[in-house]
Amino acid sequence: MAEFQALLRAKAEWKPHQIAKAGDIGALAEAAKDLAEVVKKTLSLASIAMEIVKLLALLQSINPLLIALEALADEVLKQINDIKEAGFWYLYVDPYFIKNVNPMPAFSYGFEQLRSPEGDRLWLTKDDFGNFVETVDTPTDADITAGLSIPFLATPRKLIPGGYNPHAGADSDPLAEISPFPKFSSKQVIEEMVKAFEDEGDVPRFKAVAGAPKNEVVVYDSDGNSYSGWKRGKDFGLQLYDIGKDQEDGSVIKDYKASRIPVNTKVAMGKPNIMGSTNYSGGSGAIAIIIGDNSFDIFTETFDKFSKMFTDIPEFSGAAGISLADSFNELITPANTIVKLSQCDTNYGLFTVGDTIGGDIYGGILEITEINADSVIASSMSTLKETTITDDAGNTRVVNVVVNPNEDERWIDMEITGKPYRTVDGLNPFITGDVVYEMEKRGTAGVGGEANWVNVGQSTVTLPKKQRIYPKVGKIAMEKLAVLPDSTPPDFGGIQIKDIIPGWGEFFQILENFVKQLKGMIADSTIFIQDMIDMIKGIEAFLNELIDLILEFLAFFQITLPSTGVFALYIENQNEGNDGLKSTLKGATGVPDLAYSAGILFVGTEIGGKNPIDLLALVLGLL
Amino acid sequence: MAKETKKNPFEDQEESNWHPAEIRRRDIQKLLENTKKLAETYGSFLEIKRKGWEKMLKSKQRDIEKRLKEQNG
Repeated sequence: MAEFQALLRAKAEWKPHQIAKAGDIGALAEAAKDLAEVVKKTLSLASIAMEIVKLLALLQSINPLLIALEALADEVLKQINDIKEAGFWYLYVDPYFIKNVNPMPAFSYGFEQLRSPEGDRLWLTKDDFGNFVETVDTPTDADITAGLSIPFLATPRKLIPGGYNPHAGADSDPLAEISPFPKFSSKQVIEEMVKAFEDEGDVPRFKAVAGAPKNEVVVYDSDGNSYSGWKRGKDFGLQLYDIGKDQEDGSVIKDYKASRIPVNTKVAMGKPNIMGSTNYSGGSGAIAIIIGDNSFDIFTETFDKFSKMFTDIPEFSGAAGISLADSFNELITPANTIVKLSQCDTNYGLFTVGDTIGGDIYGGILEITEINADSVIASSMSTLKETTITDDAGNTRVVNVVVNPNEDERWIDMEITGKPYRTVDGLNPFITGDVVYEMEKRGTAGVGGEANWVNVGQSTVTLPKKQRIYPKVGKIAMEKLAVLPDSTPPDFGGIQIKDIIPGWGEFFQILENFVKQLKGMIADSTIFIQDMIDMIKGIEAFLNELIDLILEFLAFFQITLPSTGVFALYIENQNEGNDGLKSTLKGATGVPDLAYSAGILFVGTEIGGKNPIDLLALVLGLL
Repeated sequence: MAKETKKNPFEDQEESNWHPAEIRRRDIQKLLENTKKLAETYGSFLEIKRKGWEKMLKSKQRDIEKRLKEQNG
């Protein structure tokens, strides 16, 4: 039930975004800004210091350098200002990591079909005499419909993921197409993006702050327009303010913006809007990016690179350090399980280490890694036997006596430890009472190429007794979880980008010290020339180190995401607001239907004749 | 850094359609490049300053030595 409710809640939501503002990338931008500011400050002091010690001649020679430095520092500050001023909405569609949309299971159930040792499906096709003959040649659907061929199904019938479905056609092997990873196609990502524009309730929402004015007081928007109908308990669609102060320190307030206090605060961003209106007709543009591939491996690899490149998007900053594939592997590598087996029949052989066993009804599969030698004992079995006894007088009486049917110790108990396999429909448990059979490989199942396990001798079930191959067999007495193995670092969520990109943490540490040193240098420089020289030497060494670190970062950010697995749609500024973006998204072609996909949609609205989306397009290399 | 010659995939499009794209972060690249340039230029500036101070220190030491020599005959 809880899981179902979680499914209902899964929804991609619009969020605000300013590039290079959050996460480590944001911290890097802040650090660059600090450096530029410190350099600027130092420059103005540099000339004063030199004048004091009468180094005017030298000052002349470095003047051009000072000018160049000033310009560079200004450039860094301007760039940071530019990229931070550009604000966007973004919609992140992620069925795998954040899971704000629901991927579909990548399999369907069907009847288990027998397979050759190579894993090919077995069919029964009529020969010239009308007798069914076993073959691996896939018949046509017409032959199947005409009854000339039939799938060779396992006896007794069993529903399995990737089994034979009479309605799906015989052409493709359903087992080859199943996947342990749920699918979310590129088309579904686009549908989610379109849907996000259609959500009528997804509007900006503002809640009253503590100490907000009482109901029906006139409130004001950011431009000073007045609004009636204020109610503390209701959500409103725009930022509202009180009237502000009349006076401050006895003087008349000139700047009403500075004197007012917000009466509500934003609790939901809502879909892209201008001044709270989502039905605006003004300029808007968008960049949609889809990361997708038909191979889960390529998809996760590209997704990882993408997330590392965009750590200024909060959803990705949390993801840094652990790959999507790693987190899935963690899921599909369950802890070892201890299973107590009973009535293991020695007539068909006892299970040994290395055997793979599978539950007949509930489908649990595990490979035996250890057998507890002390636990191998004869099964305790008892039954009642009706017997007739005669007393000394010759009277007979029917009585029930307890007998041990396992006197010859044919049936054995044992406790085994095993590595469970997660099948595409999940990690199936071993339920008490289920019969387990020895299993063998028959080809592979699904896109991951995992082994397809079937009961030993499954294809001989319908043959005469002498030709049958019997699997080892036992019954589940109990299952208990073994102690969880120690996790292998990096643990989920326990690593930060500074730990995985060389020098990242060091960068900020050194920069901080550098700023402190510069400040110290200015104060001391006129007093001790030797100290000054030593300090300059230290800073020079630091700068060299800094340059080396920047080179490392540059190497990282010069990675371009390969076009394999990444598709972009750039919707230039247009005047039909959200509706225009929605219809362009709906109508755009060119992206293939990829099985595993995630996506992000950036939307920018025109401000003062400019749309920040153009800047983003430039930044991302789309222009 | 070598100048990019990548063709804009959106250049010839008549209508908005999806294209395979080589996504990059030019903002971060540019920021790092500018910061690097700033650090390099600041390094050169400091080098000149250091040499100036060293020169000054030497001349001061020479003055002291000269004065000492004169005092001691």
